[in-house]
Amino acid sequence: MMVQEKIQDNSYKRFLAMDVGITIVTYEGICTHEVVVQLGKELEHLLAASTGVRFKKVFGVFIELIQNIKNYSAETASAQNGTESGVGIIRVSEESLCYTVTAGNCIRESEQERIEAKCAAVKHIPSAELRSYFNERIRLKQESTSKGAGVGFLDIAIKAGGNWEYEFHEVNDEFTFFTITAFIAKSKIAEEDAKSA
Amino acid sequence: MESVFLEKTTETPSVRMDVQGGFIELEGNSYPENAFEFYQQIFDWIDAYFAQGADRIRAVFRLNYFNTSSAKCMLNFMTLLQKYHGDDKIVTVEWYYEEDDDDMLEIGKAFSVDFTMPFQLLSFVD
Repeated sequence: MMVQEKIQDNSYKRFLAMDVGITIVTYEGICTHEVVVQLGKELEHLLAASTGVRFKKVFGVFIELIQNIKNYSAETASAQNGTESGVGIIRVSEESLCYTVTAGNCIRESEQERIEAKCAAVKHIPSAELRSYFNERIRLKQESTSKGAGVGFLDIAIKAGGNWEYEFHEVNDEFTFFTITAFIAKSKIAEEDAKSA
Repeated sequence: MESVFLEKTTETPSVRMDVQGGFIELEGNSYPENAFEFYQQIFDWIDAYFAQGADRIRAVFRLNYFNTSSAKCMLNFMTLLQKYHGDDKIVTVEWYYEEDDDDMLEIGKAFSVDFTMPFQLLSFVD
């Protein structure tokens, strides 16, 4: 157990070393529903006034990613009330033209292939077609592995205007550290520029 | 059946089911811990409302943000409303979106195309 924790510690260190601009919020630990709500509130307080309607995109990506950690992280802990929730790390940061939301958590190595294929499939969709895929997918029956609507990656891709990335880092034979980063342009014009770059 | 009102919380919308006025209105954010459970109680009210002989409903959605689980529930919501819309009953939907909120507008547009009940897309300025 000690060994595993130490390797995970390196995953978190690498996560924090990523260059994604000035940090607005970072949270590392158990993601209970209460944590989701409290951090959402803080983020609203910190960002809402300055970004108007673009804030909803940052907020939406943040909620989707932190609820992913809560529901799907392979590393879990029990909260005060005894319920198990996922453990992970999430950060919202700011650069001159965009906000960045990055989330990381452990997944089972055996799950990597399935998640990677899912990410790659979404990544492959041209950004102009993401919405119609979303509308199509949400009308399908849910996958058995999903606790939600099964369209989280698509939703993140839409809100980021197609500007998002994912990574996998081996932790050990059993676990892989999975990271998603979404870049949300501060204006529609900046979003168009990012697409054509 | 009596009218029902659920207070708004940080992560759930206020819900007003007005039996005399013949409308249901949701307002706020939606990212509950269990969206399916949260919306099921509302679906049950709508079933009960029509079971006691109501012949019309106006469904008003003034949502600021909802997560993908809630989006799935919105789809189920529309499917349920559509089920009641027919020869002897009238269902109308008003879908509000903040001006420039293309995400809220586009999901409403997709619903308005999918369903045959009267569906209005209405913008507001915050």
